[in-house]
Amino acid sequence: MTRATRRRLLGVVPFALLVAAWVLAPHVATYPPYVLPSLGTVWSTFTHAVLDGSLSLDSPAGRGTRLRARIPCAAN
Amino acid sequence: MSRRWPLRVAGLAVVLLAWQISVPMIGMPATFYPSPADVAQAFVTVTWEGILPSYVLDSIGRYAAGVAIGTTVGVTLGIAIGLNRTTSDLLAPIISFFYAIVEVVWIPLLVIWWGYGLKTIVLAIVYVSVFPVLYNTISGVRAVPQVLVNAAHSLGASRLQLLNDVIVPASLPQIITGFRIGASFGFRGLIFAEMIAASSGLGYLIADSATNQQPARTVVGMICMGLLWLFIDSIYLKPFERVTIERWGTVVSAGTRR
Repeated sequence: MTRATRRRLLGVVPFALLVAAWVLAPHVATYPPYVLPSLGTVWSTFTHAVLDGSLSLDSPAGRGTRLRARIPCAAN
Repeated sequence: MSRRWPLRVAGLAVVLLAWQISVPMIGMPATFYPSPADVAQAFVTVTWEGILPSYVLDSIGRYAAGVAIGTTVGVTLGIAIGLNRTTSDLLAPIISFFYAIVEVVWIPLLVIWWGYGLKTIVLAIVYVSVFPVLYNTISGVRAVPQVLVNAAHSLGASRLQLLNDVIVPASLPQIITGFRIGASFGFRGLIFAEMIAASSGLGYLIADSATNQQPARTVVGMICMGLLWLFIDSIYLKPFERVTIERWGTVVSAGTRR
Protein backbone atom coordinates (compact mmCIF):
# COMPACT_ATOMS: atom_id res chain seq x y z
CA MET A 1 0.00 0.00 0.00
CA THR A 2 1.39 3.37 -1.00
CA ARG A 3 1.79 6.19 1.49
CA ALA A 4 -0.87 8.32 -0.26
CA THR A 5 -3.43 5.47 -0.13
CA ARG A 6 -2.68 4.84 3.53
CA ARG A 7 -3.16 8.54 4.28
CA ARG A 8 -6.50 8.62 2.47
CA LEU A 9 -7.75 5.48 4.22
CA LEU A 10 -6.73 6.79 7.64
CA GLY A 11 -8.49 10.08 6.91
CA VAL A 12 -11.74 8.25 6.14
CA VAL A 13 -11.76 6.38 9.48
CA PRO A 14 -13.07 9.28 11.67
CA PHE A 15 -15.83 10.02 9.13
CA ALA A 16 -16.84 6.35 9.15
CA LEU A 17 -16.90 6.34 12.96
CA LEU A 18 -18.99 9.51 12.97
CA VAL A 19 -21.54 8.04 10.56
CA ALA A 20 -21.60 4.78 12.55
CA ALA A 21 -22.26 6.71 15.77
CA TRP A 22 -25.03 8.64 14.01
CA VAL A 23 -26.66 5.42 12.78
CA LEU A 24 -26.33 3.70 16.16
CA ALA A 25 -27.44 6.68 18.28
CA PRO A 26 -31.23 5.96 18.07
CA HIS A 27 -30.59 2.37 19.20
CA VAL A 28 -28.58 3.49 22.21
CA ALA A 29 -30.64 6.45 23.42
CA THR A 30 -34.25 7.53 23.08
CA TYR A 31 -34.87 11.05 21.80
CA PRO A 32 -37.37 12.79 19.55
CA PRO A 33 -36.48 13.01 15.83
CA TYR A 34 -36.10 16.79 15.90
CA VAL A 35 -33.15 16.48 18.29
CA LEU A 36 -31.10 14.46 15.83
CA PRO A 37 -32.68 13.45 12.53
CA SER A 38 -31.69 10.04 11.24
CA LEU A 39 -29.15 9.62 8.46
CA GLY A 40 -31.96 8.40 6.17
CA THR A 41 -34.07 11.51 6.80
CA VAL A 42 -31.14 13.82 6.07
CA TRP A 43 -30.24 11.86 2.92
CA SER A 44 -33.82 11.90 1.60
CA THR A 45 -34.08 15.66 2.32
CA PHE A 46 -30.84 16.16 0.39
CA THR A 47 -31.93 14.06 -2.60
CA HIS A 48 -35.33 15.80 -2.69
CA ALA A 49 -33.64 19.20 -2.60
CA VAL A 50 -31.37 18.16 -5.47
CA LEU A 51 -34.14 16.60 -7.56
CA ASP A 52 -36.75 19.34 -7.15
CA GLY A 53 -34.09 21.95 -7.94
CA SER A 54 -34.49 23.90 -4.69
CA LEU A 55 -30.86 23.29 -3.68
CA SER A 56 -29.47 24.67 -6.92
CA LEU A 57 -32.03 27.48 -6.91
CA ASP A 58 -31.23 28.60 -3.35
CA SER A 59 -27.48 28.37 -3.73
CA PRO A 60 -26.44 28.94 -7.36
CA ALA A 61 -22.71 28.51 -7.87
CA GLY A 62 -20.83 31.78 -7.43
CA ARG A 63 -23.95 33.90 -7.03
CA GLY A 64 -24.47 33.81 -3.28
CA THR A 65 -27.64 32.62 -1.61
CA ARG A 66 -31.14 33.63 -2.62
CA LEU A 67 -33.80 34.09 -0.02
CA ARG A 68 -37.41 33.52 -0.97
CA ALA A 69 -40.40 34.62 1.06
CA ARG A 70 -44.06 33.91 0.53
CA ILE A 71 -45.92 37.07 1.53
CA PRO A 72 -49.69 36.60 1.85
CA CYS A 73 -51.63 39.56 0.45
CA ALA A 74 -55.32 40.19 0.83
CA ALA A 75 -57.23 40.12 -2.45
CA ASN A 76 -58.98 43.37 -3.37
CA MET B 1 2.83 57.15 25.17
CA SER B 2 2.23 60.73 26.31
CA ARG B 3 2.14 61.98 22.71
CA ARG B 4 -0.32 59.32 21.59
CA TRP B 5 -3.06 59.90 24.15
CA PRO B 6 -4.06 63.45 23.10
CA LEU B 7 -4.28 62.22 19.50
CA ARG B 8 -6.46 59.27 20.49
CA VAL B 9 -8.76 61.47 22.58
CA ALA B 10 -8.94 63.99 19.72
CA GLY B 11 -9.91 61.20 17.28
CA LEU B 12 -12.65 60.00 19.62
CA ALA B 13 -13.91 63.58 20.12
CA VAL B 14 -14.13 64.09 16.34
CA VAL B 15 -16.18 60.90 15.95
CA LEU B 16 -18.54 61.92 18.79
CA LEU B 17 -18.89 65.44 17.38
CA ALA B 18 -19.68 64.12 13.89
CA TRP B 19 -22.23 61.72 15.39
CA GLN B 20 -23.90 64.52 17.40
CA ILE B 21 -23.99 66.84 14.35
CA SER B 22 -25.48 64.08 12.18
CA VAL B 23 -28.47 63.55 14.53
CA PRO B 24 -30.43 66.77 13.63
CA MET B 25 -29.29 66.47 10.00
CA ILE B 26 -30.75 62.96 9.68
CA GLY B 27 -33.80 64.00 11.69
CA MET B 28 -34.84 60.55 12.87
CA PRO B 29 -36.35 59.92 16.32
CA ALA B 30 -34.13 58.56 19.13
CA THR B 31 -35.86 55.17 18.81
CA PHE B 32 -34.15 54.83 15.40
CA TYR B 33 -30.98 56.91 15.58
CA PRO B 34 -29.87 57.80 19.13
CA SER B 35 -27.51 60.70 19.84
CA PRO B 36 -24.37 60.35 21.99
CA ALA B 37 -26.35 62.02 24.81
CA ASP B 38 -29.10 59.34 24.52
CA VAL B 39 -26.45 56.62 24.63
CA ALA B 40 -24.76 58.22 27.66
CA GLN B 41 -28.13 58.38 29.41
CA ALA B 42 -28.84 54.73 28.55
CA PHE B 43 -25.38 53.80 29.85
CA VAL B 44 -26.09 55.49 33.20
CA THR B 45 -29.53 53.82 33.41
CA VAL B 46 -28.35 50.24 32.70
CA THR B 47 -25.39 50.71 35.03
CA TRP B 48 -27.54 52.20 37.81
CA GLU B 49 -30.07 49.36 37.47
CA GLY B 50 -27.21 46.86 37.83
CA ILE B 51 -27.92 45.29 34.44
CA LEU B 52 -24.66 46.22 32.74
CA PRO B 53 -22.22 45.11 35.49
CA SER B 54 -23.99 41.75 35.87
CA TYR B 55 -24.13 41.20 32.08
CA VAL B 56 -20.45 42.09 31.65
CA LEU B 57 -19.49 39.66 34.42
CA ASP B 58 -21.63 36.91 32.83
CA SER B 59 -19.96 37.50 29.46
CA ILE B 60 -16.45 37.47 30.96
CA GLY B 61 -17.13 34.20 32.82
CA ARG B 62 -18.46 32.42 29.72
CA TYR B 63 -15.65 33.81 27.58
CA ALA B 64 -12.92 32.76 30.00
CA ALA B 65 -14.33 29.23 30.30
CA GLY B 66 -14.75 28.82 26.53
CA VAL B 67 -11.32 30.15 25.59
CA ALA B 68 -9.60 28.13 28.35
CA ILE B 69 -11.19 24.87 27.15
CA GLY B 70 -10.66 25.73 23.46
CA THR B 71 -6.98 26.56 24.03
CA THR B 72 -6.36 23.41 26.05
CA VAL B 73 -7.99 21.20 23.40
CA GLY B 74 -6.26 23.08 20.55
CA VAL B 75 -2.76 22.90 22.04
CA THR B 76 -3.09 19.24 23.06
CA LEU B 77 -4.45 18.12 19.70
CA GLY B 78 -2.01 20.38 17.84
CA ILE B 79 1.02 18.89 19.59
CA ALA B 80 -0.28 15.34 18.97
CA ILE B 81 -0.90 16.04 15.28
CA GLY B 82 2.30 18.04 14.82
CA LEU B 83 4.48 15.32 16.33
CA ASN B 84 2.89 12.20 14.91
CA ARG B 85 2.33 11.65 11.18
CA THR B 86 -0.27 8.89 11.72
CA THR B 87 -2.35 11.10 14.04
CA SER B 88 -2.10 13.83 11.44
CA ASP B 89 -3.26 11.51 8.63
CA LEU B 90 -6.12 10.29 10.82
CA LEU B 91 -7.45 13.62 12.10
CA ALA B 92 -6.49 16.28 9.54
CA PRO B 93 -9.40 15.61 7.10
CA ILE B 94 -12.13 15.62 9.75
CA ILE B 95 -10.68 18.73 11.40
CA SER B 96 -10.67 20.50 8.02
CA PHE B 97 -14.26 19.36 7.49
CA PHE B 98 -15.46 20.84 10.79
CA TYR B 99 -13.32 23.96 10.34
CA ALA B 100 -15.39 24.75 7.24
CA ILE B 101 -18.66 24.53 9.21
CA VAL B 102 -18.85 27.92 10.89
CA GLU B 103 -20.13 28.20 14.45
CA VAL B 104 -23.17 30.21 13.37
CA VAL B 105 -24.79 27.11 11.89
CA TRP B 106 -24.10 25.05 15.02
CA ILE B 107 -25.90 27.37 17.42
CA PRO B 108 -29.49 26.43 16.43
CA LEU B 109 -28.59 22.74 16.80
CA LEU B 110 -26.84 23.35 20.12
CA VAL B 111 -29.93 25.18 21.35
CA ILE B 112 -32.07 22.13 20.44
CA TRP B 113 -29.64 19.79 22.20
CA TRP B 114 -28.81 21.76 25.33
CA GLY B 115 -31.23 24.66 25.38
CA TYR B 116 -30.44 28.29 26.11
CA GLY B 117 -27.63 28.87 28.54
CA LEU B 118 -24.07 28.34 29.62
CA LYS B 119 -23.36 24.97 27.97
CA THR B 120 -24.42 26.11 24.50
CA ILE B 121 -22.53 29.41 24.70
CA VAL B 122 -19.33 27.89 26.08
CA LEU B 123 -19.39 25.17 23.43
CA ALA B 124 -19.82 27.77 20.68
CA ILE B 125 -16.80 29.70 22.03
CA VAL B 126 -14.75 26.49 22.28
CA TYR B 127 -15.64 25.61 18.70
CA VAL B 128 -14.59 29.03 17.40
CA SER B 129 -11.39 29.39 19.41
CA VAL B 130 -10.02 25.86 19.02
CA PHE B 131 -9.11 25.99 15.31
CA PRO B 132 -6.66 28.94 15.26
CA VAL B 133 -4.88 27.51 18.31
CA LEU B 134 -4.82 24.04 16.75
CA TYR B 135 -3.47 25.08 13.35
CA ASN B 136 -0.88 27.44 14.82
CA THR B 137 0.29 24.76 17.25
CA ILE B 138 0.64 22.22 14.42
CA SER B 139 2.71 24.58 12.28
CA GLY B 140 4.73 25.67 15.33
CA VAL B 141 5.58 22.10 16.30
CA ARG B 142 6.45 21.17 12.69
CA ALA B 143 8.69 24.23 12.37
CA VAL B 144 10.92 23.26 15.31
CA PRO B 145 14.46 23.03 13.86
CA GLN B 146 15.54 19.41 13.54
CA VAL B 147 18.97 20.37 14.83
CA LEU B 148 17.44 21.20 18.23
CA VAL B 149 15.66 17.84 18.38
CA ASN B 150 18.84 16.00 17.37
CA ALA B 151 20.88 17.90 19.95
CA ALA B 152 18.39 17.00 22.71
CA HIS B 153 18.43 13.34 21.58
CA SER B 154 22.22 13.22 21.60
CA LEU B 155 22.21 14.62 25.15
CA GLY B 156 19.97 11.72 26.18
CA ALA B 157 16.67 13.60 26.57
CA SER B 158 13.58 11.47 27.14
CA ARG B 159 10.43 12.02 25.04
CA LEU B 160 8.87 14.05 27.85
CA GLN B 161 12.00 16.17 28.26
CA LEU B 162 12.14 16.70 24.50
CA LEU B 163 8.53 17.89 24.56
CA ASN B 164 8.91 20.09 27.67
CA ASP B 165 12.34 21.56 27.04
CA VAL B 166 12.59 21.76 23.25
CA ILE B 167 9.37 21.38 21.28
CA VAL B 168 6.95 23.42 23.39
CA PRO B 169 9.35 26.34 24.03
CA ALA B 170 10.45 26.46 20.38
CA SER B 171 6.87 26.42 19.10
CA LEU B 172 5.57 28.79 21.79
CA PRO B 173 5.60 31.97 19.65
CA GLN B 174 3.19 30.36 17.18
CA ILE B 175 1.08 28.79 19.93
CA ILE B 176 0.68 32.20 21.58
CA THR B 177 -0.16 33.82 18.24
CA GLY B 178 -2.81 31.13 17.72
CA PHE B 179 -4.08 31.77 21.23
CA ARG B 180 -4.51 35.49 20.53
CA ILE B 181 -6.32 34.82 17.25
CA GLY B 182 -8.45 32.13 18.93
CA ALA B 183 -9.24 34.51 21.79
CA SER B 184 -10.42 37.20 19.36
CA PHE B 185 -12.52 34.68 17.40
CA GLY B 186 -13.89 33.40 20.70
CA PHE B 187 -14.99 36.91 21.64
CA ARG B 188 -17.01 37.22 18.46
CA GLY B 189 -18.42 33.74 19.06
CA LEU B 190 -19.42 34.79 22.58
CA ILE B 191 -21.37 37.83 21.41
CA PHE B 192 -23.06 35.90 18.62
CA ALA B 193 -23.99 32.97 20.86
CA GLU B 194 -25.33 35.34 23.53
CA MET B 195 -27.46 37.11 20.93
CA ILE B 196 -29.21 33.81 20.20
CA ALA B 197 -28.89 31.51 23.19
CA ALA B 198 -28.68 33.61 26.36
CA SER B 199 -30.84 35.55 28.76
CA SER B 200 -27.97 37.70 30.00
CA GLY B 201 -24.64 39.03 28.73
CA LEU B 202 -23.55 41.77 26.34
CA GLY B 203 -24.78 39.91 23.26
CA TYR B 204 -28.19 39.49 24.89
CA LEU B 205 -28.25 43.21 25.81
CA ILE B 206 -27.57 44.12 22.16
CA ALA B 207 -30.16 41.72 20.70
CA ASP B 208 -32.84 42.31 23.32
CA SER B 209 -32.67 46.10 23.19
CA ALA B 210 -32.73 46.05 19.39
CA THR B 211 -35.87 43.88 19.50
CA ASN B 212 -37.49 46.26 21.99
CA GLN B 213 -36.62 49.36 19.93
CA GLN B 214 -34.07 50.71 22.41
CA PRO B 215 -31.17 51.42 20.06
CA ALA B 216 -29.40 53.58 22.66
CA ARG B 217 -29.01 50.45 24.79
CA THR B 218 -27.89 48.51 21.73
CA VAL B 219 -25.14 51.08 21.16
CA VAL B 220 -24.19 50.88 24.85
CA GLY B 221 -23.77 47.12 24.40
CA MET B 222 -21.70 47.62 21.25
CA ILE B 223 -19.42 50.19 22.93
CA CYS B 224 -19.01 47.95 26.00
CA MET B 225 -18.17 45.04 23.68
CA GLY B 226 -15.38 47.08 22.04
CA LEU B 227 -14.11 48.40 25.37
CA LEU B 228 -14.15 44.93 26.93
CA TRP B 229 -12.10 43.54 24.05
CA LEU B 230 -9.63 46.44 24.27
CA PHE B 231 -9.32 45.73 27.98
CA ILE B 232 -8.79 41.98 27.51
CA ASP B 233 -6.32 42.49 24.68
CA SER B 234 -4.23 45.28 26.19
CA ILE B 235 -4.29 44.26 29.86
CA TYR B 236 -4.08 40.51 29.44
CA LEU B 237 -3.32 39.13 25.98
CA LYS B 238 -0.57 41.50 24.74
CA PRO B 239 1.48 41.39 27.98
CA PHE B 240 0.94 37.62 28.14
CA GLU B 241 2.20 37.22 24.59
CA ARG B 242 5.21 39.46 25.23
CA VAL B 243 6.20 37.82 28.51
CA THR B 244 5.74 34.20 27.42
CA ILE B 245 7.52 34.60 24.09
CA GLU B 246 10.44 36.44 25.66
CA ARG B 247 10.66 34.03 28.57
CA TRP B 248 10.27 30.68 26.84
CA GLY B 249 10.23 31.34 23.14
CA THR B 250 12.95 31.91 20.63
CA VAL B 251 12.49 35.71 20.71
CA VAL B 252 14.82 37.69 22.96
CA SER B 253 13.84 41.11 24.28
CA ALA B 254 16.22 43.99 23.60
CA GLY B 255 19.13 44.10 26.07
CA THR B 256 18.48 40.58 27.42
CA ARG B 257 21.32 38.06 27.35
CA ARG B 258 20.39 34.42 27.13
